[in-house]
Amino acid sequence: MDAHIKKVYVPMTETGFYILLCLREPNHGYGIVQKVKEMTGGDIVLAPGTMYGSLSKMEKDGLIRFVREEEKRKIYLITDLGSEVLNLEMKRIARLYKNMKEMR
Amino acid sequence: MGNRKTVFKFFTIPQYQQEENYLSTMHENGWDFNKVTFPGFYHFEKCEPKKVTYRLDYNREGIRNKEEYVQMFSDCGWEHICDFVGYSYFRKEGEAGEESEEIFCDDASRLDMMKRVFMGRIIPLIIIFALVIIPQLFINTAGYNGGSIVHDVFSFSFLGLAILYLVLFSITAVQFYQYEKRISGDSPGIRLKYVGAFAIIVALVAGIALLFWSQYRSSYEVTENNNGYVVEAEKLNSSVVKEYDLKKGETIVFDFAEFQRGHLYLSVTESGKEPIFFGDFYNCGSETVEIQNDGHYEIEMSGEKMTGNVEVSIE
Repeated sequence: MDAHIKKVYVPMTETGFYILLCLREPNHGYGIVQKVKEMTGGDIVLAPGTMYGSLSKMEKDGLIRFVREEEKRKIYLITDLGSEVLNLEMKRIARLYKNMKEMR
Repeated sequence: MGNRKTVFKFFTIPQYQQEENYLSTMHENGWDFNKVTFPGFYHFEKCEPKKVTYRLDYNREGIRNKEEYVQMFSDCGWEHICDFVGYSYFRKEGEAGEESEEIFCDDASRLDMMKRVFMGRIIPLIIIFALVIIPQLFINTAGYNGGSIVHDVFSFSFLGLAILYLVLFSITAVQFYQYEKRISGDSPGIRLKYVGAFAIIVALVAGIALLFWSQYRSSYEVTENNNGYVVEAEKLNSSVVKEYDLKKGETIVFDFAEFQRGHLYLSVTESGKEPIFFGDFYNCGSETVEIQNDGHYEIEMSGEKMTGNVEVSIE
């Protein structure tokens, strides 16, 4: 993983994290928005400008790839590099969670 | 009152938030925004007053893949209105302030949009400024020696443009600084970046001022001798007037063999009368003026960026 990817994506924004998490299965931007809304009980509603910008940035950086288009919606899937970044981030969050529990 | 109206309104490049507020206010007053056309005409149509949130995105990639881009926004409940110089206009019914009434949900993406605005709109202006305006300013001012109105008009138009650009850059820098400070907090790195940007702007202002000052100031010496005077000008941008009592048959000889460059205007006038001699000169030469009547005469010599020596002798 090169320095640029590390600098931009580790640690990651909540939006970025949910996008990678959801794209372990093929999905489009609005699909991710709905899924995240469902997962968080409506607390997190990803906004379209953020979503569009993040998806194109992640595609450019090779974290996700374009699969096909369905009814004017681009469907993406996570790449190996994306999985690597997601795993790093999951470990970081797990550590955060573990420490939080211990200190409480 | 008609059902349509067009308003000319100017927002500088980073003022998209002011623009959003303006469009919302218009809608609240019963004016539905239709489109914006170059250079800043906002077209409205009469409608029921309503609270509508307007938001601007700047995403050229989105405009290139418009169908898919607009689809994403409309899936999220945003109506796409139009695109204008890289900005895309969206709206949604309801009052701003709620989380779901934003097109960006985190500061990182807000900052990313600002960066896209900077790359797409400010960088081209900086390039035009550096490659066109500054060189033109030099060509029309420093490299030119006076005399032509056209040149002066160009010179001052480019000065006007340069000032306009610098004002725009300053406003942009201030706005970006405020946004970036709000979004990612004040840090020495950010402050250094903007202090640097301002230092460059100030240096440019000083440089341009110096350029104009050196071109339009006067620096000359007048030496009187027993039958006239000599003007030695490093740069003459004002006028030198001398008065003499002259008699019929005497002659005034202007010798500007050592005229180097610029523009020289000479005139001889008897008090209270029309000039008996006047002329504009751009080259070396000499002129002789014969006095026809006894009287009190004014000899005027004025220059525009004139460099060289002029000798005036009365014989």
